[in-house]
Amino acid sequence: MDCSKCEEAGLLFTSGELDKAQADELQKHLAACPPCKEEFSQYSLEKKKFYTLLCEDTSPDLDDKIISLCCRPAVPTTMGIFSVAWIKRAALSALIFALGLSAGGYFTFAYFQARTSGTYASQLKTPAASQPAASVAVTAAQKSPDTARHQSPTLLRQDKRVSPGVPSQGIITVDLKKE
Amino acid sequence: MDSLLEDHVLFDQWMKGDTAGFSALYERYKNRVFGFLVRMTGDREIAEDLLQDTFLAAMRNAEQFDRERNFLSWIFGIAHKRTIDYFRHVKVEYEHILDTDRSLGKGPDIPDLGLANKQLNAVINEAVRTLEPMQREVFLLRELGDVPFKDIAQIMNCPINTALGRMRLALKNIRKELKKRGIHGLQ
Repeated sequence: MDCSKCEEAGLLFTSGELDKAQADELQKHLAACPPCKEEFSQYSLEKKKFYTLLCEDTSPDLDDKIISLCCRPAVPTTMGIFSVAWIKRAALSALIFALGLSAGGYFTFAYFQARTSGTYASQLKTPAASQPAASVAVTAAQKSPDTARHQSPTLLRQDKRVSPGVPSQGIITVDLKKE
Repeated sequence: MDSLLEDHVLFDQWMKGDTAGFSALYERYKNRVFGFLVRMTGDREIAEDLLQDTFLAAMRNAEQFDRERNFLSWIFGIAHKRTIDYFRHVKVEYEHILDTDRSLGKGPDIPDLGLANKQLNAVINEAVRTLEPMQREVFLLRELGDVPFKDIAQIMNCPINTALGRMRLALKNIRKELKKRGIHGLQ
């Protein structure tokens, strides 16, 4: 160890941060180097003095105030084996998950509802609202297939998408096949 | 090591609502933390507020206390953060605080020690005040808080060698200031 490293090693030694091998090396150097030894001894003396001189007394009023503020009933930091912080984080995660699930469920439901009832919704907006969609399409196709396709292409296309499980709209599929 | 264990026991007592636990910890360390805050801010009243803030913050953030660490290092870390927050809040140019009249004009009160100690205290205070802010922080954390250098590096967000370098410079500058005032080494 050279003298330049000795000073820092001395600081680390006094703070208890040197391992045994490094501490031995420092001791060896101090034994062989009087200037470093003197510097180390000086710091050891100064350290005690610094501590005494740098501490400051607090006023009794301040002490009472702080003690009364900090000695309120303590907030528990653990509940069983779980810490309160962990429980808070878990609760927040569960809440976010539940919100996500609800939103997902809602949009899925809305999507399927729109798919199954879209035909009727568009039909209700047409002038022949009182008739079922199937009969409108059939009537139009019987009168003039080309006109019917031309006049209500949306309706026909929509009906084509209807799932086969919906009984009242199966007729439309039959009409299209005929054409 | 016993002191470390004892601090943890007192801390647990405090967290369970036992006032004796807090009182013992407070009595043990209040003068060190207060000394640190007085010298960091240069104002006793502000230091009193920050001391209160420090212990309240410790109570609020008790769950963040790492049992592997020293209680004193932890509390000094909080005190350091409170001081930095204070300077940010009042928009004081922290790097230039030494140059301001407020900092230099109103020094900490000198405790009622013997005359020689009183003079020495005044000289030390003056020497500490003339340090660069970063050097002063490291010096006070180490000498008052007995904070290990690895923790100082963590608190100040710098490498350990930087903290060591600042400490070396702080000691050198303090010795120089003491020599200027005719004090050759503290006995």
